[in-house]
Amino acid sequence: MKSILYVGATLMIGASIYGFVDYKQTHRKKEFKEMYTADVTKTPVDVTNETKITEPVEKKDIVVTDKKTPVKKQAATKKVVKKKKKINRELFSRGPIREEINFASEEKKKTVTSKDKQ
Amino acid sequence: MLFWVPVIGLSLLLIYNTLPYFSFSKDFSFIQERSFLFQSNLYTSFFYIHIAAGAVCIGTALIQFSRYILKKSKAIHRISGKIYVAVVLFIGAPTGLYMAFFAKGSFWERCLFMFMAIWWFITTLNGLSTIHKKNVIAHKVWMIRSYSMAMTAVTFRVYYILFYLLDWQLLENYQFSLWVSVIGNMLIAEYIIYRQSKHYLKSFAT
Repeated sequence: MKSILYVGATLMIGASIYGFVDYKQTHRKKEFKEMYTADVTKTPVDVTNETKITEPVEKKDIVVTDKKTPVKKQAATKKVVKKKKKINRELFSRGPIREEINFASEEKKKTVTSKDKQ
Repeated sequence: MLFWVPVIGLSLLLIYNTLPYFSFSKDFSFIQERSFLFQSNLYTSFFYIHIAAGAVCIGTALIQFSRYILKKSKAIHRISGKIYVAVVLFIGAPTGLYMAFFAKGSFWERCLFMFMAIWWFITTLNGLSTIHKKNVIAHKVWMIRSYSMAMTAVTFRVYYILFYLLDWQLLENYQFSLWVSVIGNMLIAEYIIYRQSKHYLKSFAT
């Protein structure tokens, strides 16, 4: 029992020392500081950005005379920009959830179905 | 029984999701996010060792709480238990402690990961020492605490997906899910121990 304690404690102390030393060497580097914040900039289209939504609507407002259809088209454009979030097996991970994963899995399915047809 | 159905299902899903990582491909969002860290051979090695250890721990722990297996064959319980203890004490906790220094989030999230590694180590060690002393009740108590730490891997992912569906931002989601999974699991473990024990405060004795 004591031997298990000594070996385990040695491994824990060694891991903490190695971790602390490596952290001290890397924490000031620019790549390390931006490692997790860079993920925010890579996130997909910002749905709350009003300029992106209103620009196509404004163009259509000039063409359409009926008051009801711009509302429908606004809703349609909002639906187009706002993507449905699907629960996927791949989401069950500590990695950042990116909609690219969903698109990649959909593309894989399409390629598989197209190959089956051939 | 209702408690164990989602626990077993999600644990098996976690193990299933871990397997593709052993293709050693870098086409995973977790690895891509930490591409700078994966330039280090030591971090890369510790990562793969840690996820392998985690999968083994969660797999072996699933059968440890089965009264049926315990009645039918204590040998299975002992062998599986020894594997769990060895993997936690010598592999899972040390590698987790190293990786905690580079965890996502602020200083407090890193501290939380370090606490998790250390508490996981302590509770598992106490679970082993109490059964060596033939104190079965204390052994059960400490292994429940140890298992609650192992299960943070599962519960974190549940909260992470839940808050993702509620449109939380990624970093805030990650941090909040981490705290809720750790504290929530510990509270649930203590509640289970409190319900089962006559003198709850004595459950902290070894």
